[in-house]
Amino acid sequence: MRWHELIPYFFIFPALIIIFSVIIYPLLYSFSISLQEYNLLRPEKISFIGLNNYVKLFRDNLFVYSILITIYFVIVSVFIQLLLGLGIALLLNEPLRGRSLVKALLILPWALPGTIIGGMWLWIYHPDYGLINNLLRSINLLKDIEVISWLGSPLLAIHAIIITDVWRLSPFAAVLLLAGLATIPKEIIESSKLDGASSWQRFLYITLPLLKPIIILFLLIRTMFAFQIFDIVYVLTRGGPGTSTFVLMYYAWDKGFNQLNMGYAAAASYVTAIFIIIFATIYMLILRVPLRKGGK
Amino acid sequence: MNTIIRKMLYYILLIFIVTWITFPFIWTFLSSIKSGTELYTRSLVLIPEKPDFSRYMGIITGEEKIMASPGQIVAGETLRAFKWGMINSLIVSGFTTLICLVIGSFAAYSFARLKYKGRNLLFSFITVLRFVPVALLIIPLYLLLRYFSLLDTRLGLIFIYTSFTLPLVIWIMKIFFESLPIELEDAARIDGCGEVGILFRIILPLSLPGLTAAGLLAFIMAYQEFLFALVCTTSLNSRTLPLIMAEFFGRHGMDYGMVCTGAVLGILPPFLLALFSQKYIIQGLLAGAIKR
Repeated sequence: MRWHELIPYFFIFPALIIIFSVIIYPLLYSFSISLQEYNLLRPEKISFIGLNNYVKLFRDNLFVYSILITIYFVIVSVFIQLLLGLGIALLLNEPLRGRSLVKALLILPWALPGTIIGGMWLWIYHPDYGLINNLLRSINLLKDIEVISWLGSPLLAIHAIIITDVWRLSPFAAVLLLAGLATIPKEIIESSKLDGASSWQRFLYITLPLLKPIIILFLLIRTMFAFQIFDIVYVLTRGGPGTSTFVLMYYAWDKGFNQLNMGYAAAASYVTAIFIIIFATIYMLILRVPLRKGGK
Repeated sequence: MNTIIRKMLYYILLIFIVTWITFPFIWTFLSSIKSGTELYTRSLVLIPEKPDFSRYMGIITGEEKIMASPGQIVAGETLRAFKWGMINSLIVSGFTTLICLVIGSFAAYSFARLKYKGRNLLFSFITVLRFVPVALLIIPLYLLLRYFSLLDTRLGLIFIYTSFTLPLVIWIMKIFFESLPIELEDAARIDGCGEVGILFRIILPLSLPGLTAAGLLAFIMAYQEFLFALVCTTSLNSRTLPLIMAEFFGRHGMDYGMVCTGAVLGILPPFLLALFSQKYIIQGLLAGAIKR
């Protein structure tokens, strides 16, 4: 092999080193930890225990609850985001005055740290002085002495988290879908108008199918990240009240870094990953993505 | 007539959307300039009677300060935490972006233009990595950083964030490189320019929009990362702003006006970037999604 044939490998080498040491190796390492009794408080007792951590996980009612509440959160919030995003995108696709200004706002909530967004909403949800309760008081839906504790009851808390997440990411969905709408050729729409298609038919038979790749992209990316929701939950509820908003990552973090039970937490995060894969596969199957190779 | 009603409806919806998106920001800002009595009230106060910017001055000068409401004391310690959180965040996100762009450009160029064994395999591999849930990495990376004594250092965070963002940066840059006309490079090659020379003198200057897009995404992602920062840092040596803010929000008896001030200042860097260069951000987000 001559010198200049090696040049490409020098180009790619640094990237590979970093990716291997921070992604590939840890992935395998993490799996091996999940098969061990690995508690940092008892380093002398670290030992191989096979699938015991996984068995223990599924015997823990809280973990099963974590799975269910996470799936509920993922499905509800991602689908509301998709629907609202679609609505916003279709509206902004009309020739309205000031729409470019609105488009400029869409990306903002997505770009900001989740903890700060969580904090902003914490103040909005505040039972005594928060915006929502004060608003309800000002239109007499709530008496002056009454409070609604938006984050204080299990049923309200998970939905408060969903609302915050929807606020943050439905504009983001709109950004993606708007870009998708822009790629639809005007001629198709015009000719279908001439053929007498109603606007609902146009939406159902032209716009929606052509948006499918973007919708799938959004569902895949959002589902993956939604399964790993942590920062907003950490600020808004800390898993509470009680353990009612213990989403999967919060559970794994609690086991790993409050109780220092690393093996158990690693197993929990592997289960999370498996759920992500299952959901991604379901989307692909339902929406029947043509599996093309090569991408171009 | 029908169209007029329809237009009206559209504009009402438009106003509703704008209010829905912007109001939490506006509310946070208004809260940061309210006096204590306007803040801690059970009736709706929108605009403060006399805007009070003293909290901003407090954070900027870092002086210990007693707030308008009695009993709410913001210690100098808190202000120091905020300042260092901001500094750490900017350093970590800045270096992550820089390293990603340098290493990523080399890798992307090799994928876009050079021919070598295993290229397609490596690229599919990097594509798959974009979809690895980071949840899986938290325990091993924590133990790894602990082993190398990199816990609670900015270097450790930069290292982790770089590798998380690198696959995405490589993807975006590859697509931009491929969109450049190949004739320019051929001409340079005939003139005796090497691969490194071509990359630096021809490709990179032409792909400034691509670099901007990839860099902005890397910065925004690093700036908002929370879980790894929470686990891998313990002190002001390396704690980033999302962490400092989460701590403030969790503390009892915290002055909410002060917290809102921190939130306003804390979101400022990504807020401004997203507002003024979103063309690039959206381009980056869509690279590879639409142009298939």
